[in-house]
Amino acid sequence: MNGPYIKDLNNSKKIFRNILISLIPLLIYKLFLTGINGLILLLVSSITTLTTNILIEYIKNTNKNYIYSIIMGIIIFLVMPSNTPFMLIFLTNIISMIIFKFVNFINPIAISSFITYIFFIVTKNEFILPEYNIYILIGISIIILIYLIINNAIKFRISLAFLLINLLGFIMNLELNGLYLIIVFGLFVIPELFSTPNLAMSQILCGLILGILSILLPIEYFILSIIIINFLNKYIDLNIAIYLAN
Amino acid sequence: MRGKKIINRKNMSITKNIKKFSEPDYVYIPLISYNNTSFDVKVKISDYVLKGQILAISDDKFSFPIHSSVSGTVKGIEKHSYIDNTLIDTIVIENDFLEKEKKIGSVKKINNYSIEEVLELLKNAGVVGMSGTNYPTYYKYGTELKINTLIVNAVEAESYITSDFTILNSKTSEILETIDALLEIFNINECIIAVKDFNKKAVDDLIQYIGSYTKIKIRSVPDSYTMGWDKYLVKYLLNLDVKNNTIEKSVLVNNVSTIYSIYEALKHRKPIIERIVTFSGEGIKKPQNVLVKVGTKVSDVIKFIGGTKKGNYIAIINGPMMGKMVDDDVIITKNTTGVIILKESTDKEIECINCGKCTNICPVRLAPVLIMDNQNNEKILNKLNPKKCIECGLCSYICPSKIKLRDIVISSKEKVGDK
Repeated sequence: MNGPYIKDLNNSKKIFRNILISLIPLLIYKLFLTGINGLILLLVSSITTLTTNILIEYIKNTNKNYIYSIIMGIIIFLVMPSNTPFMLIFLTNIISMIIFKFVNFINPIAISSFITYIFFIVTKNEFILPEYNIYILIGISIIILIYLIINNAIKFRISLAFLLINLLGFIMNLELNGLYLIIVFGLFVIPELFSTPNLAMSQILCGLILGILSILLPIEYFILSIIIINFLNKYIDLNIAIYLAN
Repeated sequence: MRGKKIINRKNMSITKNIKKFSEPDYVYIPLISYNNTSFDVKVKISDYVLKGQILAISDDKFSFPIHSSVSGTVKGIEKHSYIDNTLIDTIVIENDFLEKEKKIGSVKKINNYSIEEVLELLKNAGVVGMSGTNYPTYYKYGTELKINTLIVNAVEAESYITSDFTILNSKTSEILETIDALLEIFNINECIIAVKDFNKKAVDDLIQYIGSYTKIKIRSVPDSYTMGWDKYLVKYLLNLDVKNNTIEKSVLVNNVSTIYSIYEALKHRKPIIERIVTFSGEGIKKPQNVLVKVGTKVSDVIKFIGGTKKGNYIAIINGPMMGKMVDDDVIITKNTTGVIILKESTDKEIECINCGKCTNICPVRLAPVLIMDNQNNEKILNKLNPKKCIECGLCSYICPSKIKLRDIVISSKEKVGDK
């Protein structure tokens, strides 16, 4: 047995727990804004991701890590329009978790939300996002961001680069995708652990590219661009790693 | 600069005085050098040897004479465990506890030696890097390049280990005297003694003593692991980027315990036959620093200082980050800095969560997780350059999934070889 024989006190469970804690303020705020309908949507989303995960892990006989699937369910709830049909969230979550469990470099939240937003476009229904108070939302977001950075729970460089680009877009008076979506995507969707690059430089690059795309593209295409970039992340990461190592 | 404040357990042994263990029944003098060369043994079974007497020599340029650490009778040659867990030849000597010493020649003031005399004395005394490298000090000082700065490394990055700290505290005036002599003899412009922020007492003591030594400066460095690495120190203290060896930037780095060994060699013509070793960890009943003879069995010292606690403990030599787990048979060598007794880890390795912490902490900018993913792709593995790994262990230390990344990078390093 080789060393090191002491280990950092941080572990995967603590990281997931910190992400879960960081979700609470925004979760409470969205539930406050959406009421009982929101609560049912949250339960459907979380229970679907959790049970799908349990079933797949049972079949694959792999490590049981359920907390992350609950996190996925909550984030999907936060991203989804308030008027998303329950059946739709149920189906999209099953699809996204199956894909994620077999190709874990694709962001499951992006898959779920992409199908949902496309559904709204195809059915020509208008999607409804919560009517938030801008000051409360910004206040909550700053607290979450600080919490996540202090606890080093997410790849915060991606979030910072993404939010910075959107802030610049706001200063330049460009048309943005709505503050609520920018914050949920910036803090929780795009820095998703498994589908993002590892190196600091690649993370910043990823955040900057997605930030620009979020300004240039409507929401459904922006979500599609997250999935496309998921495929490029490994390539970008590998090349930057080779550059830095030599 | 990359690094991490690791779990600090230096307090366990830092305030204790040095205990001397000079009475092992047998010593097992290791026939080991920097280059692992073979030795010409100059004694035979039943020979009586004096303390400090030469037992074996080698022609290799990186080698040095092997001395007896006790007076007594040669019993034979046996294999025993070295700090890296390999079995090495040792000369077994039965201690007669008389401490009869070999007579030494005339000694001068330590700053009155010529460069050639110093190099000869260092070689004869077997002075080596005392922080684990075993690199001969005479070879380091024998450089043809001009040395502008001498950095005395008292950082002691590993957790638990306080042998350097102890020697700096207990032999402050001797260390300063030696540095001053080295600066004069080798015409070195300045010396910087690097001490961790954490060791405030050492800094205060040094300031008290430093008085007239105008060329010697004290610099405290952040309490961050890998700060004790030579290249990092040079970068932090002098803002110079070192590619291969610090001497290419006219900087020579010496460990503080090595400086004290130089003092012993110049002042008393004493070979390196004993050293201060930290015995610490949650499994040791009385953690402390012990002055131990080279060749003493670790188990003998542990018994002498009160033994270990009951339970499942493991012994690690030279620090929990870069050290190795060893068995009872291991012996103290010149480059043994500490023996740490710790509880066996119960951490289970789980699937990588792709957090990227290992890539963003690596001091040589490797990507351990990508090396792990590409273990079977030799072409990409080669490009990821695992050969650069300094085996500091930070990737494994930081990994929240408790994956043994250091082992993976080391095996990739071996796989890539010299291609």
